[in-house]
Amino acid sequence: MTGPATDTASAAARPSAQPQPGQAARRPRFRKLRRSKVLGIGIALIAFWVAVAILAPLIAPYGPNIQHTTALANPFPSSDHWFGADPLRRDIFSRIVWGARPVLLVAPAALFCANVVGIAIGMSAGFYGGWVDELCSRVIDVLLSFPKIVLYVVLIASLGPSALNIVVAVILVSSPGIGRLVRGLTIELKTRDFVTAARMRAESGFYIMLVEILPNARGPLIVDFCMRMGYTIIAIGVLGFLGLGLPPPNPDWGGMVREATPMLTVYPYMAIFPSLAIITLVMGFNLVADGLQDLDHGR
Amino acid sequence: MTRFILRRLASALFTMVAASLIVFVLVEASPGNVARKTLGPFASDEQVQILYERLQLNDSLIVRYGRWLGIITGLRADPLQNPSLGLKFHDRRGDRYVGNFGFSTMMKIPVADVIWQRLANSAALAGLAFLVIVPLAIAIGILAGLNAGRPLDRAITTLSTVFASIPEFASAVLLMSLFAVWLGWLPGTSPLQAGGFWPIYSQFVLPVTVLTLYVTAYVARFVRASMIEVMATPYVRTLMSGVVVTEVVFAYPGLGRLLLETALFGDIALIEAATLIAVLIAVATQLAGDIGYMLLNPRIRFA
Amino acid sequence: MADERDTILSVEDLEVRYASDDRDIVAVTDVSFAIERGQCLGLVGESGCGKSTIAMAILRYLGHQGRISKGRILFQSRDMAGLTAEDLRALRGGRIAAIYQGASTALNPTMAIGAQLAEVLRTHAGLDRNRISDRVLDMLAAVGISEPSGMIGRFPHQISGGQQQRVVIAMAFLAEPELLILDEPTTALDVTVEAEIMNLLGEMRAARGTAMLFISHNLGLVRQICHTISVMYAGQIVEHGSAQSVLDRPRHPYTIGMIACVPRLDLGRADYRLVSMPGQVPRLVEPPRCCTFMDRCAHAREGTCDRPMALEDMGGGARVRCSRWREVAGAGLSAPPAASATPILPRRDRILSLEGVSKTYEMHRLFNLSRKSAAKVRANDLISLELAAGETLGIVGESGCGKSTLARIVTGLEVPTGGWVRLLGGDVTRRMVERRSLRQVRNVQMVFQNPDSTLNPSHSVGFILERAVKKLGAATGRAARRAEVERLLDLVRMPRDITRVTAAHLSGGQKQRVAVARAFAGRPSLVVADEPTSALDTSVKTAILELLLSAQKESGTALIFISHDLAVVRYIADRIAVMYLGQIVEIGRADEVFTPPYHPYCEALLAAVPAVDGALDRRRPRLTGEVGRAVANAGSCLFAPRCARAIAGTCERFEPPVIEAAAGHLIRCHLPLADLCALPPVFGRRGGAAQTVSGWQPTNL
Ligand code: SF4
Ligand code: SF4
Repeated sequence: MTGPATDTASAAARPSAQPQPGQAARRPRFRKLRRSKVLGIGIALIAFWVAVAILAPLIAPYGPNIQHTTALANPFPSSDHWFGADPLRRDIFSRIVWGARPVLLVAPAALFCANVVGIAIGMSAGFYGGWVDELCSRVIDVLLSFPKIVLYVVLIASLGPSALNIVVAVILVSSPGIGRLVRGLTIELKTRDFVTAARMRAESGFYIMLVEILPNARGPLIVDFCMRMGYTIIAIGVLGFLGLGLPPPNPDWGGMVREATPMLTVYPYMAIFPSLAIITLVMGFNLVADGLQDLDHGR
Repeated sequence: MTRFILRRLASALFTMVAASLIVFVLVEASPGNVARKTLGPFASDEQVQILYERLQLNDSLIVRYGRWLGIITGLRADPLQNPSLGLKFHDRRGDRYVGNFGFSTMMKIPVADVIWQRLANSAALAGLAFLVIVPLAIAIGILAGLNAGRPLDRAITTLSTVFASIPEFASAVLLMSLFAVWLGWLPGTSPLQAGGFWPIYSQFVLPVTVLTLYVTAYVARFVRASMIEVMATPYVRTLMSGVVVTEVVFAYPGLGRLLLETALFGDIALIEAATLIAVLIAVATQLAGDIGYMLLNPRIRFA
Repeated sequence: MADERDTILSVEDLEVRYASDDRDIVAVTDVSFAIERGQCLGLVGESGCGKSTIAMAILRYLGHQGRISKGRILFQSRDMAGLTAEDLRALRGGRIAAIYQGASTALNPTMAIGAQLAEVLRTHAGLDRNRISDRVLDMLAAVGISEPSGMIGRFPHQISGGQQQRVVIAMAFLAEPELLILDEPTTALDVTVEAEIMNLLGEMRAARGTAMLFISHNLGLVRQICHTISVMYAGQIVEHGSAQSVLDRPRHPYTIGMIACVPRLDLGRADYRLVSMPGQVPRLVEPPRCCTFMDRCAHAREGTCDRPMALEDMGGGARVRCSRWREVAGAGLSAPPAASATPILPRRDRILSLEGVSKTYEMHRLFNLSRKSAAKVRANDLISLELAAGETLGIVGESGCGKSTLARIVTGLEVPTGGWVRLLGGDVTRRMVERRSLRQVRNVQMVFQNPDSTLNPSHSVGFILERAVKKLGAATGRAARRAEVERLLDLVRMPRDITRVTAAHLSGGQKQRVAVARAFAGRPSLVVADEPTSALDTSVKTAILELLLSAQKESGTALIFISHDLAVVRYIADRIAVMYLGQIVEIGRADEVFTPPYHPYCEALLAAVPAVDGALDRRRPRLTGEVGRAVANAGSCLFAPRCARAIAGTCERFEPPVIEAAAGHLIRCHLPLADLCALPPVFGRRGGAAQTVSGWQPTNL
């Protein structure tokens, strides 16, 4: 039976007969993506607000800071002012539309920076261990022991309210949490054999962290990013509401609620519309986070 | 086991010291500012200059931090009380006691006179909320667990996502519009002053509801993401963040609103005091949580 | 066929489908079999062939996605489809018991063992308290637990894996099941423990007449315990018959191929050649329209094979799903010509030498290569070996014997606590890999055990190999590196266009191929392979072994091959070191280690391995007890507590000397060489038709 022996050898040389999982495995992911209702709604909400932010000049009927004397007596929603006018008689609809811009600019930019910082800290802590880990973990612990809003308030109060300082504050508040997450992931991933293989070809620690470990942490990091986007947008809203947000007269959703609160008894809609804007945007990110997690767990 | 507790205690102490350093640096990093803010906006430049010298504000940051820590811990006398400064700051407790946070420039009284009452108010609000939140969260957890994968579990998940997407001020505004403005069932503010139309207990209903909604949903989401163990600590820290906002919305006379007001005003001593107390509470609950967890979990206990 | 009343389980025309993203996957189709009282049916096949699905279908554990789309399952003539959830629950763990691979998952970690066993009796037998505790103790004794009363108060994590599996077996038998389903029950265990568990199962079946469904990929085990065997492939039974006939005279090309893939214990590489099977098990999306094995079958013929195959009766209860079985059988099962019998290489330059290397762990001392208290009584050196260029050294031993630690020391992932390590002429004793010279690093590469962890799932095959070529190889320039990558892919017989595929999307065997290619990228002097095949299916395993051998030959690399699988090591290694509790107890040429004189531990190990070849008759000195943690009673033979040949008064008091049985063949034992030579060989040929196999005389037959 020399037949099988030679046959197998030649067959082994043409394993193209084997299923090529490459293409086959990628397709279902998109199908699942479409199948997850939660993810779909979340993406739609985010896409909606991104579109609003980009197309603000086309959508908004008025400039954000134009005061409409015509609405002096009657600031209620009308055909001229769909969502009514605010205490200074500016068009609420336009302000909400324009207000999408700063949020969608500041929050992702700030979180991106926070991720860079957090990943750098967490990854070195997890990878090198020893005193590096000890030091980084301590710093993380200390920063995490502050209640978030307290840290935000103290930071903005001492730095002064501005978009840049909000970014700085978000970095200080968020990067410890990201660092802790990345540290855990790194500690787990660095025990994998492919990391050992990299060590055995004398790769630098930097290469191992960036090329071998980081790509495999992207799943949890993306979910974390979405959840954090939600909290960060809330935090920016809260800062605006507390009077520590973007300096007026820039349209800022949280600030709009703040200005409207004293008149809640007469004009509740002035506060309700910007609140709804924040809620829907945050919900978009939270739903995406949920959906991604469901996909990961195959639920 | 004793070693475990001692180790946790030491690390809690370290965290407190490090946190106080951060607070001090954030608030008092620029010394010119300190003198100016202590005296208020109407003081002349000469007065500011004199105070700057008297307080030795040109010393290095770390030296000033040491002095500041000494005053808080009652090891040093508060120089502001020195009559020669002419600030007319007077504290009936003397110039040297534990917890001496100095003088509030905003209220013109010692910080200690105002802060503990505010803390008690906040504790009352947080405690009431906690009483609602904990049983609710446990019930939700059990319900979701028993129905894992079934519609009820999904409903709970979706609801917690929805409620975690509503900032406290937004839910406060919505609830206020509904119950205070439209229905008129409840008061829209909670100044904790009796004698008005609304009895005191009714003033707690809306703030507690706002806190409950957000904190429960937030923690439920985190637990689902299995990022933290189901413990008291995350509740407490989230709750503390929530309390600040809620107090501001409802004009509730608590520590959180005090912190915001002083932050906006630039009242150095009060900012430091309120922040430190907040961190102290967070660290203390963390410590209590760790120790409690250890007592419940034999694997750590014997390690 | 026996009559109705004796049939415990019968499966008729079963088809199971799993809902997938777009369409159903047919996991099992056209499966029928019956098991009678006291009988054991073996379901064998590689992973993904549907054997475990059948077990799940019987117990109706198919989950949300799975369903029985056709056919019936009758348990004692009762259709299982008609059972309510309530009935099913009563049946599972009662009249149908199941034992799976991981014993630890079957036991509740928070409950004492006695209480868990008692609960089985309460729910399934309804006995009163005293009777329950008696029964529990009896059963624990019956499954060979030496101190039952001590066991009942313990928690699962306090006992070893072998004992856990015993407890699980006790649990299963307590309910007095009619049917016992065993799904790879010993796969996670060491060979010696496995042998004991298999013996136990055989005894229990004989004593109680329980019908068994034994699912395994291990043909040797199946031969040992099963009366009849069904070979599964791609969701179908392709061959069925008595254990003997199927394994000795396989008819279906797949069965033939499977058996040809299994390395043999009794023969060395010079005497036979393993034949690997190309291709993969197909995933069915609908009942097949042609022979499912067609794309891999060497006998396939257009016209006869491209139609659905039915099981054909071959007489004597044997059935085969192949239209050409007569022709196939005619082709015979003569072993293919032995591979170029590689002569043992003359000692060339030494590339690696270890001298008295020891490693002690402070904290948990999971294992150490020397005694735990090496500092105490340490006169002679312990792990001492030398490796010549191009040579293959096999290291065998059970889990915890320190073989992986040895690998980590050689590769510089750990530093020893004592002794010297010299690599390529340089002292690397205290040098972790990060501190070794570039030449030393490049020249030592590793192949790992777990295919899912060996390649970075985020990278493409091309990236992985190119990076290895860049860092390890001599090729400069992009084009040269590309060419080198293609050479490597050819070396491991993978298509060149696989470079674009991400590692996460490869099968286990493909991953391991890429891992081999990566290790050989820079034509290293030494490759350390730590259990590179133990996570793979039989046919894939063989392919990887062949690759390793050919890659090694091509680049003149020395290989340290670590495995718990003796047959695999015998096939691949020139020399073998046998380790026990951190010591090398025997080292020598492959044929020397596998024949007397050998160390009593080697004898026991060899005896424990189940053989597929039925002509092999083996004496089995049963090895009792389990590998302990390296206990520190310095000045004794570490194997003494388990050794069947221990010399009372000597072995447990004095450290055994190292005997030189032949040049380079060392045995660490108190027994005089003459006694060791007189040990009966573990293998013999039945019927006296002894063949002389390289180096041993079948005198005792
Ligand atoms: S039917 Fe044809 S293809 Fe299938 S196993 Fe038999 S010979 Fe091979
Ligand atoms: S020294 Fe004694 S106990 Fe050890 S293997 Fe030899 S005979 Fe057995």
